[in-house]
Amino acid sequence: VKRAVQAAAVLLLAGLAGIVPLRPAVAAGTEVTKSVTATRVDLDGSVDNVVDSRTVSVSVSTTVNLLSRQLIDVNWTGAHPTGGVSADYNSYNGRLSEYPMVLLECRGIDNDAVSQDLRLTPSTCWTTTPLPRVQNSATPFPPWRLDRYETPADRKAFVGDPNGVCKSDSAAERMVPYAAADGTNYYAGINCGGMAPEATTVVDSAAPPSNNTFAASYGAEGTGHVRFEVWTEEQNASLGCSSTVPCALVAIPIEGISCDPAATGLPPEDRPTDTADDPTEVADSTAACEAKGKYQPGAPLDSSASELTTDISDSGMFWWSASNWRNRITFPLNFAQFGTACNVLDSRTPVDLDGSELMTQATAQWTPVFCSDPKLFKLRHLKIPEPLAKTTLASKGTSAALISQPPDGGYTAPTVNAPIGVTGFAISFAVDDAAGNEATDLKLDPRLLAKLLTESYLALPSLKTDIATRKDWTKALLPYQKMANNPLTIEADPEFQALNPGLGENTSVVGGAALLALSTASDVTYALAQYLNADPEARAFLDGKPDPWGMVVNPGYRGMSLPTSSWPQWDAYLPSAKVTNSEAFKYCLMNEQGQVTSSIPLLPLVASPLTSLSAIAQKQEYALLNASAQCVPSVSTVTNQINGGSFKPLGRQTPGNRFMLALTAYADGPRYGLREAELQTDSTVPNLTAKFSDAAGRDFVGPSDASLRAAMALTTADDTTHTWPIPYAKLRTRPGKDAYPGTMVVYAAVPTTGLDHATATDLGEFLEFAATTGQVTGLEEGRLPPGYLPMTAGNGLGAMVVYTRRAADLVAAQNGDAGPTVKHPTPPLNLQPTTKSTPNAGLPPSAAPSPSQGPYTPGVQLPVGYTAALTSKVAGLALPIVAAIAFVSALLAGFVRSRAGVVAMNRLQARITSRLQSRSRP
Amino acid sequence: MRSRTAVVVAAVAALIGIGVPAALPANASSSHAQIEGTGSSWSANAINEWVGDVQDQGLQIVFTPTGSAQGRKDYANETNDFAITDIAFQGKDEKTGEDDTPDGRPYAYLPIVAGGTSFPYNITFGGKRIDNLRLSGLTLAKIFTNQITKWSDPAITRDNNGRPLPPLPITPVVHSEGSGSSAQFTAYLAKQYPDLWGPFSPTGNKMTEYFPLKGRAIAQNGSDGVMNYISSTAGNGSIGYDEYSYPKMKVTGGWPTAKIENVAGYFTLPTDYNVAVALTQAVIDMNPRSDTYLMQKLDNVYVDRDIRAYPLSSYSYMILPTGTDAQDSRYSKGTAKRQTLADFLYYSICVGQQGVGTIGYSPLPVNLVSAGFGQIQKLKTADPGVDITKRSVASCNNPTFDPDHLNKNKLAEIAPKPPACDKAGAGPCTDATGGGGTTGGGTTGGGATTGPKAGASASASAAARIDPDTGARATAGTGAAAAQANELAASRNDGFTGVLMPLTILELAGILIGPFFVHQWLARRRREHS
Repeated sequence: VKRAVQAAAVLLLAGLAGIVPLRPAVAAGTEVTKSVTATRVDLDGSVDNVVDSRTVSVSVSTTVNLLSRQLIDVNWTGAHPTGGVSADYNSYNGRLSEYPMVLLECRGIDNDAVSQDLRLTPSTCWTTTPLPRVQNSATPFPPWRLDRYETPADRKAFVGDPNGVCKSDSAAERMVPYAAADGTNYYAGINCGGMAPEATTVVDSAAPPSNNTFAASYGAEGTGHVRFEVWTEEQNASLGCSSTVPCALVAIPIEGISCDPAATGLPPEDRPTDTADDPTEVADSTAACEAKGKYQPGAPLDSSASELTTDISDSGMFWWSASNWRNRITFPLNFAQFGTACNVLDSRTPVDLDGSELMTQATAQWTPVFCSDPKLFKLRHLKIPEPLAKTTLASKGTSAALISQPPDGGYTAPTVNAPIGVTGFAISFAVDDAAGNEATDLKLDPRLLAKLLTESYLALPSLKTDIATRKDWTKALLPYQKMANNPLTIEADPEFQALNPGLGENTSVVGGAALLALSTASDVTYALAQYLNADPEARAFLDGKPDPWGMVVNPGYRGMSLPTSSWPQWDAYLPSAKVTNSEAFKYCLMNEQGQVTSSIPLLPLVASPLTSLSAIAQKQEYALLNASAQCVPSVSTVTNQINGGSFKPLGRQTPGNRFMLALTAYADGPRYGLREAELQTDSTVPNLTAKFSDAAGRDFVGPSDASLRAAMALTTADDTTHTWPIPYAKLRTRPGKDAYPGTMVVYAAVPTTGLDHATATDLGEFLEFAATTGQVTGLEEGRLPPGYLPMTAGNGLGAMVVYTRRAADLVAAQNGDAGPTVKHPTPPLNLQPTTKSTPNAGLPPSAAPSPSQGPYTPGVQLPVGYTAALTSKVAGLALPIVAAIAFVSALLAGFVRSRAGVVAMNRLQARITSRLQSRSRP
Repeated sequence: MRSRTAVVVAAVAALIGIGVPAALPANASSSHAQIEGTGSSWSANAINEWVGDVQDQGLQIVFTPTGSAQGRKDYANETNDFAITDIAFQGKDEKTGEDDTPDGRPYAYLPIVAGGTSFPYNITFGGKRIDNLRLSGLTLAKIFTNQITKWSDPAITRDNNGRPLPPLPITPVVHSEGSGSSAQFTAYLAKQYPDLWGPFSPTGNKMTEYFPLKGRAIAQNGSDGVMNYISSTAGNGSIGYDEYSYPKMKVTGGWPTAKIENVAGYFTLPTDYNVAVALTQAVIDMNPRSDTYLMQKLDNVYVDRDIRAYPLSSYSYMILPTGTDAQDSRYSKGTAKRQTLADFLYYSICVGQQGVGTIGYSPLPVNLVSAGFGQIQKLKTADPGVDITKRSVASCNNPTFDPDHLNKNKLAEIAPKPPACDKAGAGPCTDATGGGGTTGGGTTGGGATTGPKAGASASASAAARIDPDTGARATAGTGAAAAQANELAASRNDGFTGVLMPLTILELAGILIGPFFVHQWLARRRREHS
């Protein structure tokens, strides 16, 4: 018997052995700073004339372990102040700025010692449009031909077009062909077309921007800051960066071309010379090259800017010129190895987990572990609203629902509610301060969130005026009169200003009027609503009590009952004809006859919630406003008349003027570089009706391992619902000071009856994985990415691990057990402490779960008797059987009056029990 | 007895360990590149689900739901890598007068998902929201052509079997952008109710992507905009149209959506089943040389006599770039992008179809999947570097497939019949029509027949639960029946339980009887010793 059991265990372990590809842990990213002294030197005759010299220092927030689409911070100081600042530094118009900081992602190693095909050169630097790499000049001696640092060969009239196929009618031409990763050279000059597949010449404001950056340096210190999005081959195959193809971020502070107009030593055709045709060629070309800039520092770029209106010698157009390129600072980028992808040919029916988008980042790393092992199964996370997942679970349309809030009235069938992730929601922000710099910290309290969500900011000046001056009040609209003094946006709100001093009031009016949230039902909305509801200030505001400055809730929401999983659009103010008939709106409201006969509330258009957290994150990453209170007219090409219009999202905002707040998944923050606000926890403010001018008496906490741990420490397990509910009321008290209010637990709700055997086994395995190996942090497949607090005993979550591992057994067993108790997890039959197990030596110490819930280490010889999840389905059945045995035996014992009989029976019973145990976990 | 039990248990466990599919071949193609698409918001929820699903296969796709008309325009301008549209290129854009053609860019249509254009509404009166509205096609047509302007209209009362609705004015909510859902709805109106639609439509009795804005009607941008407006306070009294997934995901249990009367006299919802049933009547252009190859003609769908049919069912399409490197500037050196597209489609029309029922769509039937593979083949024709080996109908794990009868749509075969209270002149049923509880959603349970997992037994039990004569999933007349559409998994026979149950019984019997013998034995011993 024993041998048979062992044989089974060995077989099963063999099946699990492939689960975890062990990789060395990678170091966390740290900031890298480098500097260069950039000097512009004009050669006057034989004298070097130093025009300008600056020591530029650039720092990059992280350069290692990068993920595709990750945003990294780039800060610099000491650069030449920029004139002709482009409204959008990712726009190709930025090349016309004077003295910009140019940031490009380039392939190769920046070292002359490496072979040519591996070397980083201007040709391996990505530009989304060909414009910054093709120059045509009507005059024969444009600045790049007078560049004193260029080689004589590169000072010829036509350079960079080896076959002459692109030769234009220009007097001079310079091409910096783009060398794609596959070896193709793309020339994009006049007459020769052809650009990389990822390149485009069309600007689309709804699309994510290019990562080419022509940014501004401000003030005498020449400081600047941008966030740079790094791309891998996934986004840009022509650039081809990956964990194996080296790439770098190249920063080129444009200092202007150092000129050598005399061109002594060059052949006559390469020297400017006054002739009868052009008697001022020398003076003109010298002046063009030595020009010092047309714009004042900080002045915006003209809307009609072109190569003719800017001093091109100082512009971003010539980032590739020897004078500028020599000043480059190169930051090699190290991309995280994210190896195994699931096979596109794998058409197996997936085992589905339906629900919570909070788990998206985790399941993205988890699923490859399952799909890539032929002995396991294909795991799929269908991201659907949690309430829909609960409905589908109840109707047996799904086998596993990922949820955070158990269904009202419980489950329809015995179901375990097994925690698999401790994470939460975040309020992400993309906010530029009054000086145009991006804010890195933001504090929000529940009342501010309530104001945003209840459409209580008036957003549009025309709306505010309308309410203030309206005469034709109807009974239904009358309550809205009270909103007349509400601020337009959160930026103008004294409460926000008190909590965020120094931010100033800036910008885009509409962006600060709403929080981009979910239009669909969601447990995330429910959690946020609970947080608001538990706060006395927010609750009083919702109930109609003005804030200390007199701002009132939008009457549509007054008295709103919370929590709710679907945040409603309850503004019902119908603007008067003055607004609806105005140029700004009438084309979207007029009927076929061209008349505006109806009015609609505008604030719901400002709110414009979206269907998924992933859609919100994508908008937030690029600060693309979804507020749609903008009517874009449509014009008939036949009649040339406006024939209607459509409310469209405002879209991309110009850097320096951004303001956008969004409800996002905490784990999407580290993934996409979203900034996540600090939320108010406790408050000791005695007088809740008094105005305040700072954050005194209030504590604010952002999401982090520590703050999630603090929140979980406040939880008490609930045995009825099998959850660890976040105690929102307690959060607001002193013990909740350090606890992040957005903390949420994601549970896998899986029935313990009715599943077919294969699905039950697979889901049992998944739960075992999710409770153990899946909680080890890392950026490799099978690991837990940032944004989740590892569910370990070390983090005080041992009871959750025990519950989920036990649930794994019950799911696999399918005997209708509704799950173990939560509060006091009884050391179950098959869950003895596994102190003898070998801890995974490769784990970083912080990530290593406590020994008592140590992960199994496939491939390592395990202690005798240590078995993995699969056998447990037997044990899962064993428990009720043993219970039944015990019960029956006890009954029988009553009948068997003989003392010896009792003893013998107890002995027999104990023997059976111990045999059953020996078959399961030690 | 004990030792035998242990051996059997071990054997069972061993079977679990080895009962897994053989090793999969390594990824045949290594190179993928990001592709970007624009178009239909009608099908956006399905597409974005797939976009998320294939990320773990290393496929990067960005889809922006700009509306079908804009998607086709972007395609013609070569500013997207693919477009999603609910209708074919129309030749001319009626609203702007611009050409609505691919402008010479080679293309093919490929059906990607089916669904129903649903009619979410908001009728809140006296603090109560009505959630079981039924509408006949005629009433629907009159509402959207402003012939019926109050919810208390006798025609609406009649549709609801005499139950009057409150005297609220009706606000039709239409799409402001050029929208495939407007096209699908107006095509239905033009075909079924020409006398109403013809005079109402400024462009005559034909379909349009731009719904004319008249009377109390309100226009909103995109599916999100329409659904957000209907569910708002200002949306009280409103009714709009959009794909069923939008109301279904809006609130817990789904936002109220009108049941629409089919010609058999039953009021139905666009569940995955009912859509599959109706679309068995779609006429597909099967002439591969036609400009509209694989495009749909839905005239017969509108008048499907099946009592389960949802009349406003339709397919949505991808416009597939079939040009060569030289013909399509977005695909110069485009092998990696084409490969991404091919692999994305392989997932989408096969495994991806499992799960679309959950979110409010209906999976494609086998004939369209099969034709879809023919279209994917064109990517390889344009570019021999594209690898499409091992991607075929044979390996396609699509929930509508019945491996024994490939010409049938399994979902349509097993679709439950509506309860009697959904019949005209009966009811109305009292269950909410939000979508959550009323849908089949059973694609997971009804699942795979070609996969390695025990899908066949699941489908067998699913089939067994439906009385072929009465559609017995609906316990007729009780009104709560449709909500029980899919207790598929629950009744599955579980081989494991089959082994263990007898064992347990034996074991328990042993325990019950054993002590008696032990007692006897002990007593005998005691007697002997004493």
